[in-house]
Amino acid sequence: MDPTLGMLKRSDGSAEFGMKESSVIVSIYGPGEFTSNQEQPIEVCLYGCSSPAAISRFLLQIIDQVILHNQVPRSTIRISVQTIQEGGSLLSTCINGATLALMDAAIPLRYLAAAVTVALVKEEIVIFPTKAQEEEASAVMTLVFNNIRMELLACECNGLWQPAEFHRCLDTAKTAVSDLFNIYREKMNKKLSLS
Amino acid sequence: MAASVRVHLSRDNPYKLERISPAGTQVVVPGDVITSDTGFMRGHGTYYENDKLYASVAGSVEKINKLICVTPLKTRYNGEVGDVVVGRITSVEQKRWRVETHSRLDSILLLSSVNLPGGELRRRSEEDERMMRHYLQEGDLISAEVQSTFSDGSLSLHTRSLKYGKLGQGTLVQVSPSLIKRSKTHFHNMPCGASIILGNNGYVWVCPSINEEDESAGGFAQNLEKIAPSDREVLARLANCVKILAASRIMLFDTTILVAYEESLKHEVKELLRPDVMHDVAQLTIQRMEAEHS
Repeated sequence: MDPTLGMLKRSDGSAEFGMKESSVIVSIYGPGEFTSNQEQPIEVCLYGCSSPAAISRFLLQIIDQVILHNQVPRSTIRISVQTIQEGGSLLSTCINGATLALMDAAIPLRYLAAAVTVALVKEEIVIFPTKAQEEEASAVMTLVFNNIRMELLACECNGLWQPAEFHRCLDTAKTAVSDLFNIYREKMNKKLSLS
Repeated sequence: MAASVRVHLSRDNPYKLERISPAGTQVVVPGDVITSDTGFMRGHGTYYENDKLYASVAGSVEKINKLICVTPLKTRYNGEVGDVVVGRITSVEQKRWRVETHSRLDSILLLSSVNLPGGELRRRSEEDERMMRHYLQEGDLISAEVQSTFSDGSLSLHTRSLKYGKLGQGTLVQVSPSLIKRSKTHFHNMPCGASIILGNNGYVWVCPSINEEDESAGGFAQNLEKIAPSDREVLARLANCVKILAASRIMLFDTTILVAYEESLKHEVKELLRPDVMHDVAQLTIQRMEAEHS
C-alpha cells in the first residue's frame, strides 16, 4: 500500500490510495467561487461504486469536521472520488484517499483523519478485511481517528459484538491508524524535500 | 512524412536533482503543534487553539522574526496589497469586471479603477458603463496591481498606471504562486529581446520587448502587428525555460530565468520539454545559482 499524491495536474489536489482489494483516486477542486445556486459549500461525488449515497454522506460529515471553515469563507470545495477497484473496506479507503487529497490541495485542515475497517471473524480481529472476510464476519466496524491525541472522530458499526470485543477492536485500530499517520508524514517529507 | 512520437508517463521520473537544501527546515502536517509560545504572530497555514499554534496545511515552517507561517507546495494565490497580477476577464458586470487570478475568489476590477482612454479624470457616466465592453471583454488578459482586499478575501485590482492594462501578443505560463519571488519590480526586459511579467499569482506573461516610448492610449490598445519568426523563437524558448524551472520547483526571478535561458541555448526549442533536457537545464541552473551565492 503506497499512496501517490498529486498525480492529476489539472486539479488542485489529488491522491490515490489502495488497501488490499480496494483502491480509489480522489481529486479535489477548491477553494473556489461560491455560486448562489449551490446548496452546500462542500460537495462530494462518488463514481463507480455500488453504494455511493451511504459513503458520500459519511465522507461529507468527516470532511466537514476536518476542514477549518473560518479560513476558507464563502468558498466551495469539490471532492470527486473515483473507485478503481471495489473490494472490502471501501469506506475507509475513501476517507484516507480524501484526507491525502485535501493535504495535497493545501486546504486548511484542523487535523488529519485516518480510517481503519476492523472485522470480527470468528473471534479474530482482521484489519482492512476483504469482501469475503466482511461477509463471514460477525461485526464490521469503520473507525476514524485524528492525529491529535488519537481521538475517535466517527465510527460506523454493523453486526453484533460484546463490549470487550469493541474495546479490543478500538485498540487494534489505534495501532493501525498510527502506522497510517507515519506513512502520511513520510510521504509529505519526501515530497517537500524532493526537487 | 514521418513524425517522431514520445510518450512519457508522469509516474516515471528517474531524474533527481541535486541541490543544497537549507538545513533545519521543519516539515509539518495538519494537526501538528508548531509552538506553545504565545509570543508569535500567526501567518498563513496556521491556526490557534487552546494557546497552542497548530499547522493547518502540510508544508515547511517559515519563521520570519515573530511571524510563523506554513508554506505548502502548491496553493491558490493569497493576494497582498501592492502585488502585480496577471488575470483574465471572465465577465463584464455593472460598473466592474470580474477577473480570474487563480485565487480562492474571483478578483474585481472596478470601472473607477481603470484609466479612461485619453487620460481624462472625471466621474464615470452612463455612457462609460455602456462602453465597458469596448475596453475589456471576456477572455482578455490584463496586468494589474492589487489595490485592496474585500472583507471576504477577494481582491480589488486597479490599472491606474501606464504599465498596466490589456496585454497584447505573447504567451501565458501558469505556475504555482509560491514559486514567484517577491521583488521590487515584476516587469523585466530580458537582454535576449523579450519582456516578461512575473505575476504574483503565478501567471507569467512572456511578450516581445515593450518600447517605453510607445505608450499612448493608456493601456487599452493592443499591438497586433506581425511578430518575426526569430522573435517568436525567443518567446517560445523563454516560455519553455519558465516551464522547466517551475517543474523543478526553482524560484522564479529574473536571474534564474536568464541563467536557464543561457543554459538552454545549446538545445533546440522544441526539445526543451523532453524530461532529460529539462533535467539537464534545471541541474545546470541550480549549479550556477549555487556557485554565484557561495
